[in-house]
Amino acid sequence: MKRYFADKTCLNVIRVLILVLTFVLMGLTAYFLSFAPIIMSIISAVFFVAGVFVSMIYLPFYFRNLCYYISNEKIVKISGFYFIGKQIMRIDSVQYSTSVSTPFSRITGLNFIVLYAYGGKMTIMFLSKKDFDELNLAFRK
Amino acid sequence: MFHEHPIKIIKYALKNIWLLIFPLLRGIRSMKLDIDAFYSWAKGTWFDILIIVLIIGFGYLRWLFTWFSFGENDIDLLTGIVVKKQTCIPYNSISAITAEQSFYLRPFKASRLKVDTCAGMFNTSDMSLLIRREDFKKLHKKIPEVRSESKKTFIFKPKLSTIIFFSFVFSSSLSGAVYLAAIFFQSGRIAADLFENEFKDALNEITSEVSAKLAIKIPPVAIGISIVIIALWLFSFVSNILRYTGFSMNSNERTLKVKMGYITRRHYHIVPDKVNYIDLRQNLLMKIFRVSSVNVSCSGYGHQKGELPVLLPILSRKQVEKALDIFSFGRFIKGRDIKALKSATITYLWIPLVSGIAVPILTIFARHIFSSFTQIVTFLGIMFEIPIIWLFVIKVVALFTSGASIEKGVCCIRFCKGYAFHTVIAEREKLVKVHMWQTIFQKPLKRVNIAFYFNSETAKRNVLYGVNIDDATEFLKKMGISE
Repeated sequence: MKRYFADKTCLNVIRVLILVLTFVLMGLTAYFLSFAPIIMSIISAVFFVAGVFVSMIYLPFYFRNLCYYISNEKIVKISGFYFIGKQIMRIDSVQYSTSVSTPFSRITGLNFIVLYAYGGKMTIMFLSKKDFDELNLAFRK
Repeated sequence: MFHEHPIKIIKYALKNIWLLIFPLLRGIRSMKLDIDAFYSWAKGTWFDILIIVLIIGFGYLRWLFTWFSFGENDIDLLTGIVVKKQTCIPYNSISAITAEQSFYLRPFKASRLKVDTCAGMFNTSDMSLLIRREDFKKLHKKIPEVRSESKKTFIFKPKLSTIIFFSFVFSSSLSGAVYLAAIFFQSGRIAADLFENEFKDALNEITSEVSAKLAIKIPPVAIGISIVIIALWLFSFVSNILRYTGFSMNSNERTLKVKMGYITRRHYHIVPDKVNYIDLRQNLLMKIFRVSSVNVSCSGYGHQKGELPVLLPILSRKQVEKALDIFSFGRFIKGRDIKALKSATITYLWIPLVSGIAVPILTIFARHIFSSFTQIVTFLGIMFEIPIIWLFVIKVVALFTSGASIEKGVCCIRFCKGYAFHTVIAEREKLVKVHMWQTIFQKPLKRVNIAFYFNSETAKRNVLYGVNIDDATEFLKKMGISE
């Protein structure tokens, strides 16, 4: 049973995206709600706290917990932030797969494989290019 | 790797039609301006042309960046201009392949291909492509074909009269309404409004004419309702005839090949191993004439709007047994190991009984309240009472025919749902859940209801009502299910 981890390089990409989104939302709040400074401050604070929480606390913990165990018989996905969940899927129940890769995925690590099985699906997220190619090939056999 | 048929560019381009909102906004804006501004509007047409070029350009790019291939072991589809998405379906996972040739695609020698497996989103295809007909032939070489020289080959081509009878029996005003609703939605509101106004005028004319000719006390509104129902039924009837004309089925143990349709020709390849269960459907008339239609539950077959998962439209009992030999099911349509108890009469009949009594009472009550509309109220009362009486007769028949049997790992469940009789035949392995329950009235009488759930895209209850609890427990033991 081989163990695969989420590619940490994409953590920084997602962090940057979230922080940019946070500051854009704060800017829009300041622009449109300048006539109500108290409401503007509260909403800006909510956006700031949410953005910082997701990028600095939630994502690092989520990435630390996210891992996959893959054997010839089954795939085990372990994920979660506070409550750790475990999903197990039998390889022989997988009917087909879809792989999604973004531009510059070698650098960003934004590679995904979706496995469709009887009655459900499992998404293998944030794989490094090397792991993505390896697993993609394995699931196509 | 191949590209899809170039006609797909139009479909991809149409997805970006919303971009025309920008030239439209410009047009609205320019209308507010005076005549001198017309020059600036004309000068600005480059923007409109740009938008149209962009729409077609996006369509072309999407087509250009969509590739598919029929590999040694799987079908590959590669899509996406920026984000690359690759879907890979192994041939041995395929449950059904559908090739549709609409009348407008035929001159372009194009086919719409849909590939389905037992996984993926419910009631949607796992892969949908618009391909050239010669590319479809390449796929043919990769999937099992029916060979007529094979000993276990079943070929069925019903006569046109059979198809007309089938369409007659399975057409309903409800499905007609669904078809019309789909047309309204797809043709847009303007077309619907136009149609509605013209339809209203025509209907008013017809109803007053019919009313005058009949010279009896039937209000024009009632005649109007009847005409609408008949028109919707006719629409559904004609749609069914067009859909099922030219029906033919060739099958052997490796594949089932179904062809049907006149305006839109459909070719289905079904993998027998992926069939969840067989459902023999009958209505009361068919039950009397001992004929049934063979339906099949298989992912990817019969899941489109207005489509029935019919495998064989109308067959006699002997023909059904012969056809089901393909699944080795034919010999399992036999007597019932457990039956609905005759004492369960109330369980079967309470709905039509209560509604059959309630409708006349409500009609009398309504006649008093709406005294100026007595005719229409009476008419509606009669119209509601007829299907209830029909349902009563069906439930009486169901009481005497419902039951279940199991032999050599194949179970056969006979039950009635609404106005239809079902005989579901499936391998025991395909059974996923059994639900037994009793009402407070059934408990002291030791009767039980059993719901059987088989492998299916969506959960379907096959319920057997009013069975003796000891018989039911014994039967479930035979099925390999015990508490």
